[in-house]
Amino acid sequence: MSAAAPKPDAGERLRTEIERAIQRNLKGLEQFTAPLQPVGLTPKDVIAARGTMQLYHYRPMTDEIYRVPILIVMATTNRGYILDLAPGQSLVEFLLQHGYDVYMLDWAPPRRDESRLTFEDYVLDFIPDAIRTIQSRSGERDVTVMGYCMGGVLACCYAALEPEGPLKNLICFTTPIDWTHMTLFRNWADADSFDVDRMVGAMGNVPAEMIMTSFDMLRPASRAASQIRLWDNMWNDEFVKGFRMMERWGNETLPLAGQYFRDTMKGLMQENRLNDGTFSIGGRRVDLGAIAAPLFHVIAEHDHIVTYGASSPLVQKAGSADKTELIVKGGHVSVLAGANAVKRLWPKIDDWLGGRST
Amino acid sequence: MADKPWDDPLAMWRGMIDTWERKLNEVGNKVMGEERFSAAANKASAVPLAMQKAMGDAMAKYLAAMNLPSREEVAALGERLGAIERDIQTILRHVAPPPAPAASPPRTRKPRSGTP
Repeated sequence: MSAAAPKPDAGERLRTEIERAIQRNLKGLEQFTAPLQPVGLTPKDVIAARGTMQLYHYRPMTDEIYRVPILIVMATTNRGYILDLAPGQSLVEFLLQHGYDVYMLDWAPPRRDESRLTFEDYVLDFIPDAIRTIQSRSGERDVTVMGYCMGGVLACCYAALEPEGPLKNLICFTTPIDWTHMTLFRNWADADSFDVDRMVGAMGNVPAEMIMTSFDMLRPASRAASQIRLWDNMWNDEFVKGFRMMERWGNETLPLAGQYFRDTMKGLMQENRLNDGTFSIGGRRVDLGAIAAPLFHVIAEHDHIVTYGASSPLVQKAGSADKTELIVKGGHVSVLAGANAVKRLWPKIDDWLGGRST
Repeated sequence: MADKPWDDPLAMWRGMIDTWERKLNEVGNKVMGEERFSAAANKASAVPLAMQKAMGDAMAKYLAAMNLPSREEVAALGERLGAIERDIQTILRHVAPPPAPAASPPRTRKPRSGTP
């Protein structure tokens, strides 16, 4: 007998692979005609909409809620439904089920005439406007602000400029502060070769395709590899469903308002002014040391977009007496929205926030 | 314990895909991290940008002379219409605002013991 003889279950494995191969072909064909995967299904009301700004109020799910409402500030490059992908895979749903009153500041694609929107408009108009609406609707002065990626940057700037304001707690996810650590982006946006004025002058708003391409270029092989993995797992309905939701989200990347993009590229990416403490908004210097609210910052261990070096200065610089940095396994998106986030991160948010929401 | 190749006929192939992806990403990042790449890519994208702007300007002048709207002006009109529709929706919402959660739950929830 040969030592390399197949193990007793090899035939079974082979049958499984043949079955999967058939399924791959059948389901692969279905893929071409399948409608978009539904996302963002948690019941909500749109309570304010002004150009690119959209404010949602999710309907409470418990008989008793915490006193302090939460405002989620979404990243300006992407749709907010990444935090509400599907039942059981939704941070929003998790927060509602744990007794929080949840609002979200989401972004529609900026119109052509909104290309003049500045960083100041986002920090000193949209966020305060959303907070005023929440205060009026909830009857509470205090609000917890939770920002994801660039939403975190906007929230930090607001917190630094309004330390006496209604901010009860500040929670940030993967928020870049020291942009010198975003080495590839910084190289591409180098002021010697990248003329942001010319680009914005020619285009107005920055097209979503350009934003998507820049993210893809960070991992140039990963889009092709993910398509191969999709084919490999085509027999697995749950995998395909998750893949299609994430693919839809990636494909629905948002364009950016031209002037806001210019402010970001020059002030943050090229000159690193937020980290240096010289960034100014509306003529006021943004000093992260002025942040006074309790702060909870989540950093993704394998984040290839906002690396640890880029995001760790937030907790170091914030003036909050009560501040926590949490490093969690995961990437830039999976830390917050993947299947693992349900176990690794969301309960920790509840543990930290519950006692600070009364 | 990981499957041996004879346990899973596709395991080796999957491993190869992972390795290929990792290596190609590493090489790509190395190349794209060089100043030369940035300079060349930005130079390459500047040319179509300049052409696009010059063509757009020239075409706008031509269409204006013909008393016709440019594509940009038609698109801007479409966007303005969209904006007006959204503003009407906003006004309607103020006229008949969505009911504040009629039976909004009391804001009395306390955390489980053990949290601050």
